Amino acid sequence: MTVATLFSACDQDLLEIPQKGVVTIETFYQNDEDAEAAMVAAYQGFLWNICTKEGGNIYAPFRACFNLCGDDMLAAGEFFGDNDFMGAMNEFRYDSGSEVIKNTYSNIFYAMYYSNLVIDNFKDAQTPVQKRVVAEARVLRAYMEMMLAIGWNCPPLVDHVLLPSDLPANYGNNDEASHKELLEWCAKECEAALPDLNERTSPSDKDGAVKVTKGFANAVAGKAYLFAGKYDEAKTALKRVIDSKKYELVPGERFWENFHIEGDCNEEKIFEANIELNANVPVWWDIVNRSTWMEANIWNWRSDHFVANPSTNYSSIDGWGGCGVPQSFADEMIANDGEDSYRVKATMIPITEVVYNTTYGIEDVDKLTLEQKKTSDKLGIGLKGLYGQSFYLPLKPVCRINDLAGRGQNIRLNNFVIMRYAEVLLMYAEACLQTGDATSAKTYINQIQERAGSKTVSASVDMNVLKREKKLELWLEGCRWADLVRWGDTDGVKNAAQKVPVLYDKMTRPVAASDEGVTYDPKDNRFYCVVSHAAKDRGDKVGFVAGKHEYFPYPNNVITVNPNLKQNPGWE
Amino acid sequence: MWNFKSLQKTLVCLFLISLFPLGALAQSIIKGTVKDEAGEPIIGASVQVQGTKTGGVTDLNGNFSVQAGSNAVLNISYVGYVSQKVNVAGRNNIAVVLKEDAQSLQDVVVIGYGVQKKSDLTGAVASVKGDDIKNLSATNAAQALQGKAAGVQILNTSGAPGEGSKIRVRGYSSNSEKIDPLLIVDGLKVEDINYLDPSMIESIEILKDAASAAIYGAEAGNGVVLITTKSGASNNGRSSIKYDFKMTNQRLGKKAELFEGDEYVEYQKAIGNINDDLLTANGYKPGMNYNWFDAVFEPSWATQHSITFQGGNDRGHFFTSLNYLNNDGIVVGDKDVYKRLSAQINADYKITDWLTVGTTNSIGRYTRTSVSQQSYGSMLNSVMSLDPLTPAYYSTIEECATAMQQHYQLGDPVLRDPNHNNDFYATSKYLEEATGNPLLQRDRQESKSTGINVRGTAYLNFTPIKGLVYTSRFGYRITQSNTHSYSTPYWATGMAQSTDYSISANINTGYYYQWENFVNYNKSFGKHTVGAMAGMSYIENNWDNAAESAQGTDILKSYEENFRYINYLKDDAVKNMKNNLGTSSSMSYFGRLTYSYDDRYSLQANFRADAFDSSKLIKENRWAQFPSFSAGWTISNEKFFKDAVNEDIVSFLKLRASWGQNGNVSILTDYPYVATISLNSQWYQYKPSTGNGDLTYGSGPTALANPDLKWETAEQIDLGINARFLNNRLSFGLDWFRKETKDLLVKIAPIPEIGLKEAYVNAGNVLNSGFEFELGWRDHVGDLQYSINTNLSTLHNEVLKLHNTIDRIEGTTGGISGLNNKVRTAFEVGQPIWYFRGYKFAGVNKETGAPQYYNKDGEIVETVTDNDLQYIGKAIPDFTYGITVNLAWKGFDFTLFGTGTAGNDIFSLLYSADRSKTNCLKYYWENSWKEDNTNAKFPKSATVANDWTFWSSSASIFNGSYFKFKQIQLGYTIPKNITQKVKINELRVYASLDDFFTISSYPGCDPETATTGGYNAMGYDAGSYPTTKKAIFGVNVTF
Repeated sequence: MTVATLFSACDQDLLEIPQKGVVTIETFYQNDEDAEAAMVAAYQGFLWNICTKEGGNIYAPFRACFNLCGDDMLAAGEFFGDNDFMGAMNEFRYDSGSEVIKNTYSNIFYAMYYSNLVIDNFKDAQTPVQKRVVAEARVLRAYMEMMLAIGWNCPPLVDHVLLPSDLPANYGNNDEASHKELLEWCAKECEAALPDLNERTSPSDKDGAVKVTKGFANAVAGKAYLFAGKYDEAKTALKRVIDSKKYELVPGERFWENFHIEGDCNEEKIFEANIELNANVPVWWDIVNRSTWMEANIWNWRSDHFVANPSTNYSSIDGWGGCGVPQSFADEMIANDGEDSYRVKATMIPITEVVYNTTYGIEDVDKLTLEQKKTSDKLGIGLKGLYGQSFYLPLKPVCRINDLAGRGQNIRLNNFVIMRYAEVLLMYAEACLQTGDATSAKTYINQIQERAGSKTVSASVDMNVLKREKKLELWLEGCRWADLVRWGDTDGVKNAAQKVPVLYDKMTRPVAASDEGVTYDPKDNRFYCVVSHAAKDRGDKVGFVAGKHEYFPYPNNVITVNPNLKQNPGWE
Repeated sequence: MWNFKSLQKTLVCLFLISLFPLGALAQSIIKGTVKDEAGEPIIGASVQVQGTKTGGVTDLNGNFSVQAGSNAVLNISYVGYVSQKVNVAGRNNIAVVLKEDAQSLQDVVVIGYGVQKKSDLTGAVASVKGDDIKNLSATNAAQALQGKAAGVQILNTSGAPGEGSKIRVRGYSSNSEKIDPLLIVDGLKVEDINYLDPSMIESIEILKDAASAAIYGAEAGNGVVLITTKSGASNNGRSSIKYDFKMTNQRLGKKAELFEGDEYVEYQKAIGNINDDLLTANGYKPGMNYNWFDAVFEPSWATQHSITFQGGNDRGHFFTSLNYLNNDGIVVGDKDVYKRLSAQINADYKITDWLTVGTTNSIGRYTRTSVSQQSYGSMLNSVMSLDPLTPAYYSTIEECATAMQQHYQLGDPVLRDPNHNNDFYATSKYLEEATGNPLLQRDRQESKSTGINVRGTAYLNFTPIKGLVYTSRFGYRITQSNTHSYSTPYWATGMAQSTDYSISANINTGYYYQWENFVNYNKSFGKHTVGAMAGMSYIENNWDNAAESAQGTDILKSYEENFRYINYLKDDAVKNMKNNLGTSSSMSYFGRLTYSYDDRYSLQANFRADAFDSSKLIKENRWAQFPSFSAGWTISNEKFFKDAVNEDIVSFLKLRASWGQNGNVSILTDYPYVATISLNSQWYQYKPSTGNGDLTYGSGPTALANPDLKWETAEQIDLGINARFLNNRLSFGLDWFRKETKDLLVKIAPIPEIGLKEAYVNAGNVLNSGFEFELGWRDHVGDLQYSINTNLSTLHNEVLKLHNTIDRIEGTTGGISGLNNKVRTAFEVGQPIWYFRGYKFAGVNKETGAPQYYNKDGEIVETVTDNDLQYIGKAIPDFTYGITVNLAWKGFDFTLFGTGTAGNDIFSLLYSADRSKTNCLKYYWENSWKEDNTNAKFPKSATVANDWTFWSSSASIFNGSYFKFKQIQLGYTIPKNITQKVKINELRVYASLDDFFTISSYPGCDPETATTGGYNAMGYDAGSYPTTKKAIFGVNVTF
């Protein structure tokens, strides 16, 4: 009996428990349906890793990484040291441990993996669907590899799914020539994909703006060639976008919508990652994971540093004031465009207008006349001031109520723009200028200026005109920093962190004797700026250093485990 | 009802009659009684006439009568008592008093699938008896273990009613959260022991070394806790009814040392956050002070009733106990209440001489409501962060903060308390707080969990030949739990607001069974004693869990209380539904061989082979083998020792050594070895043109495959000494262990170019080693009985190895999710697991008051970067210890019991540099650099008020050592001659102060609970429910 019971229960089949809800990799990647499904994963991978909250910190790192080092913005906030991951980038005191850089670098490869899965598994495909899918994946991959090259010079070229044991090396010889070669590789990948790609059907084709099309492939090819200094090739590729007539600049009065939900998929968008509410999909976390979520907070005004909150009716969420407009940038824009251009109105707003021209929803305040408001302590800026802000606050990156999943919810749903037509035109104009075709360049620069409602419509154009136009038009759209490096125009960032403004209100904080470099708002001297330089005071090394800061460092957690990857100069 | 007593009487009489052979009539009848020291009759004691086969047993009144000669010698014996020889010496009415054999009762320990005499033990087994934990205020078995056994650490990370405790045996041996010991109650594997009231426990054995635990193999890598519930046998067969009642008054213990009103104002002015204009505008008046601890906590009561019926005879026993606990926690109102009704029903019966059957069963039901803690924006976090100038309520909207007025105008849901004059929950006019108001958070959400659990075993012991016992045991668990939650939209601050209602319901059911068959054989011949055990087990666990939830601005048909159920969701509310059912199974073979010679040498070998189902391991790797060996040498029984050493000085001395391997397989779940395609679980929206947000589904791989994955293996050496001195009055135990856990399951982040964020590999080793001391003294001075028992354990914890691609694994930056602090925990070679990694504070620049730090090269600098982050402390104590003093004098009894830790650190997350207006520990301000105090410990407050670097440095580290008086109890047993007049056998009343005094230098709340509990985030103080201090009044009545 003992022996019988001991051994009767030992049927090992009891240990076989099938896994639910999965299929094996071996049976997948077979037919058109699988190819489409794999491509969806590639788009989701791109959306999650490049555009949205997924990936490390709660802030979309890609956008931060390619904007923060520019001379056209200040990493602002509640005070010096607030959100220092941004401040460190902006003041050039970051190191290879920077979370922004680490997450951007990693996320690009995480997204690229899904493109490589499509390309590897369907590379010999013959059906039109599979060929199209592979072509879309190749362009996505090329765009990502291009951004890596722009950021890191000669990053590894990952053109297939790697084995877990692989330790990829820098591309080529890790020098300037290899850098250009890698950019050319990106361009050629896009061109090779062209025959199999769909074309946007018309400027009103919304669906054609949220996926990879011939237009996006040509735009990426053009940008890669431009950055590689191959101006003729750039011209050709970019002209194909223009000639396709599938893209148009929106009229000036709609310029603002490019940065808000009203402009999703409009005629100006070459490619943007789509984010929409769906009545059957829960906001938490399905939609949140696709939105830029708290990025909305970080760009919005620091509302709790106001006596009365001016954000309530504009954006409905309280911000952390992470973005400052340098006074020099504001002055340059006003001088160029005039006070009331569509572009200025969509880009920034004077502090006087913020304070005096807001409906607060507080009866005692709203009933005041303008003159009363000017002397009232019921509104204005609080005792602590606004760190990193000048007399203009940003508007372009600040969300409006409609951009959000609901009033007060920091779930931002306007699409994540990868490229819009204005950039294509400006790149084309540059390629023309570089190849001696100032006439064509003028045509397109004027188109941009006219649409902006700028008072400056250039009679003749040169690189200086182009550079200013691109700086103003594409502010905070991930272009300026890369252009600075490419053009060698880094003088403006050498002195980063030397004169960080803090905007105060005399009503709550009178000017103190110890205040340095006090300037008064010409519109109303109630507001004044004080110069600060806390990082410098602390003994930090700040500002752009030539020969080092042109490229980001490879993240320290990557460099320490991959002996084949050489750190960029100055970061070793 | 079955009349056990009358049946017993009949049985005893029949039995007695059968014992009288007619041939003995020539001798006279000797009568007598056998009682215990308390004068209670002993039923069923054996009375044997020496040198004959004649004998008898005592009846219900302890009386016996045997045929014996007038010069005969009677051997009187009973289990649990010291046997006595009595010369009849012509008497025919003999009164015998048997002494309880404390030694022998203490001496049997439960080891898996059997018992062993303590003197034969070769492994390290800590044993805690029911008596050691009786009348504690602890309401669950895990809590009751605290401070009672060396090498066992109990983690209480919250004092909230119904909160469970975590048990750590010999350190922290995995980088996963799966480091709980295997828990076995009466042979049944259970998930936790929080359901088990200490009053139902006979003994707890902790198998600490690998050799002892090896009989449980792949699941024993973190130690094994064996609990035996009371059977009735321990009551020496006496029937009794016992009623215990306990009333506990609990109140908040230590408050954190925060700023009071005027101090807050002084500090905030100094750091430039507020000025007189702002104070005037907000209506501040000197002396204004609101204490949020007082607003949120109030003294409350917990009551507990327990009634026990037990009885038995030499054939069988039964034990049944009913226990009811009602604990309303100290948060004002009834949002933190734990109620538990539990019953234990145990019985065994010897049907024939060769067959015994038995069963143990535990049935329980609980309900629990709770408040949020230990997270960013949690209720208990905000108790400490709200400024002292803000009251709990404002009665008019005009008094409220401007932002609140603004949102009130907008029609946003600004809430009021219907139970407090319909007042507005006040929010601060000075700071935007993440929670707004803790009372508002208490009231806007409801969270209730309930559950019913039935656990038990049924077994039969078959004894075909002497010494051989075959056991077949079936164990089962039926579990059912529900949680419901509901919360409303609200607007309190920009950070504390929601536009949504949300509602959720979770229903979990589970059915678990195990079937074990094993044979024990024990035989002595001459000086040799051999034992063997062999067996098998099969375990199957089934679960079926469903979760439903919805969230949105308008989701329910009505929001009245009787509509707050999923059933009343509007048809178009977006619903989120999940149902997950599954099965896991395992099978095992195990065996043990023991041998001892002449009470001097003992040897033991254990072996277990385990196999796990395919959700854990690939078929080829599913079997695992775990061997162990141990040996003991009782030197004091050696002749040479006896010749050399006086037995009165060294009464007992034994050396032990063991080696063994165990596993930790619970780290493997959900087919971790295989990479599959997660079908249609990704999506993209290709069709913005429709405006519907249409989804197109896609599929991709989930992870990198690793078919080589295996369990973690712990290998442990243990060396031990047990000794008793001075006539057994002084006892001493010492163990040294070295436990190395290998093949840790490590989640690595492959280099990003690979494209997948994580992969699992077996790539890490952790060492735990330490000493465990137990020292006891037991004696009496006249009528005063006293004993002192102490235990102390040391722990050295270190990561020895990690995968070559990772420098370290890091926990959440900020400590807990949502904070901008730069501190994080890390798992790194050469350091204790999950140490605090931050900036190392070096002191203050005397000239400027600026903070100084050590950079990564150890130089003192004023700025540091991420690359200078380093070890700044750890949450694991170097020492844990406990001390118990028992005194008894003429009916009075007194217990003093305390426990403590030393060498652990607390990292305080209570300060937020981006919200410097929050209240905080005034410790920093008091010790800060000022013009007239340049020799200060901390920098100038204005310099660091907004400086995350400083607050992410070791300046936020505090010594977490403490000693807590867990119990100071005075009891009095009313003399029997009084109580027996009202048919009460024993009546004891007592009063106790539990958790009442704590010695600690920590300026925050209770240092014991001022810690997060995550396996990779221990030791952060993010605001937790503190242990309450309790005054207890109780009564124990036995009929």
